Amino acid sequence: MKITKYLYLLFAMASCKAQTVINVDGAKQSYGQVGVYYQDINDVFGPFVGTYVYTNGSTSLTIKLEKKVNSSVNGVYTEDALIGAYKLIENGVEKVNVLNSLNNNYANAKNNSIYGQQILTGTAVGCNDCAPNEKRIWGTIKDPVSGSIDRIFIRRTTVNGQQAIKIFILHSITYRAENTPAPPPVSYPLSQDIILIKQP
Amino acid sequence: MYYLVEFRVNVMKLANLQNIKPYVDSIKVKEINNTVKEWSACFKKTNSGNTFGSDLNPQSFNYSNTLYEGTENDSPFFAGQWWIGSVHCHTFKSVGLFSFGDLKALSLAYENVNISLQNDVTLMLIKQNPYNPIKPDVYAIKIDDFALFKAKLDADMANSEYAAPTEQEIVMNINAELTNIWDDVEPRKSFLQRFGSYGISLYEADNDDLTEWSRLKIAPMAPGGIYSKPCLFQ
Repeated sequence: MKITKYLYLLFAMASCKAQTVINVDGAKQSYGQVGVYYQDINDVFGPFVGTYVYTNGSTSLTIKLEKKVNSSVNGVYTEDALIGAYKLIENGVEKVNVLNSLNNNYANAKNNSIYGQQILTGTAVGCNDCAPNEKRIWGTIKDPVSGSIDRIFIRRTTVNGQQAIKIFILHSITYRAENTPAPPPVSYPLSQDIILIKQP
Repeated sequence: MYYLVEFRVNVMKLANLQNIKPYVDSIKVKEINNTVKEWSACFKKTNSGNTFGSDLNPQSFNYSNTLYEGTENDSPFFAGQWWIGSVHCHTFKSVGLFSFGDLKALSLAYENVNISLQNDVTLMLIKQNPYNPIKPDVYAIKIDDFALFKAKLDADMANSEYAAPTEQEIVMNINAELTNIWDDVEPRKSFLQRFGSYGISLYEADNDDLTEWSRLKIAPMAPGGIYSKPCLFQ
């Protein structure tokens, strides 16, 4: 009887062991621990969700952002993240359209065309005009045409009272062996601020 | 100790040549002006004599290089038989020191270069000094133990945490993880903590001529946790 009681107690303790949760905002050096759930406790990602459009004549960029909850990073840990997809039309020609890729509902948020998990606060990483408590997203964007994967900074802003995002895509130096072909040019505009207006 | 001496000599030869240092200085200026793009110059060392040159006879080599704009999406670091390295800068939106992608590039260069030039292979980085914006810091990494270095890189690439459909995505996943570990105040320490056991050495230029370098090591009791040992006196 005693043994049964102990076994029951042991089982109960094991069942009650909660998953470790760490706030994704500020996790920094503790990031990537096995079994941890990096949760967007303060819902930093939520306000970024929406469809945003930049238009200049016959050139346009549409970005759709969603919040992915409890995404599994290859079974190592889980995280909340901002994910997205985009469509780029340049001079009337559609260069990239991966908007439908959001329907794939990847278990691992990193597989999306736009993925952001890191939250920057205030002026960190080159934002001198950011407010001290302002939150930005620092993520990646993929170009299926060139194969390039680049850094994207996503900042919330307003334009004439309209909600908007300001993005900046940073392309890093890449390398290849001599006598191998250069990769095709990156499709999206690099190294410049682009403001996209939130759609109703 | 051996590598410190060797490194100092090699870099002196590299940086003192008039056709290379101007490019380093040019990239420094871009860094001072808060560049929004990464820039890079690549170094090529070729034999100009009848016999293959040696480090004891640097005049037997020609050095050439090209300046590339990073946003062109071309690969400026042409690893190959005579390509011994490159220098690039960070943008005002960059953090940390060398990325995992940089380490992969260093490995690529070492693997492809003529065996006689493997000790010349280096990757330099120009990074803004937050305490002195008009005087960027210049860092360099070199390989001490290639077998160990390669094994460590391969292990990272095979780590299930970073698994992705393409190699580039894996590299980006690792780079993304790195952005979590950088100490904003002392990125050199972060780099050494993450990559100090990878069979490579981290150096910092002590002067604008790039003739004197110090090897950086982790030292918990030193200011900032970094011990800087001038290579000149090794």
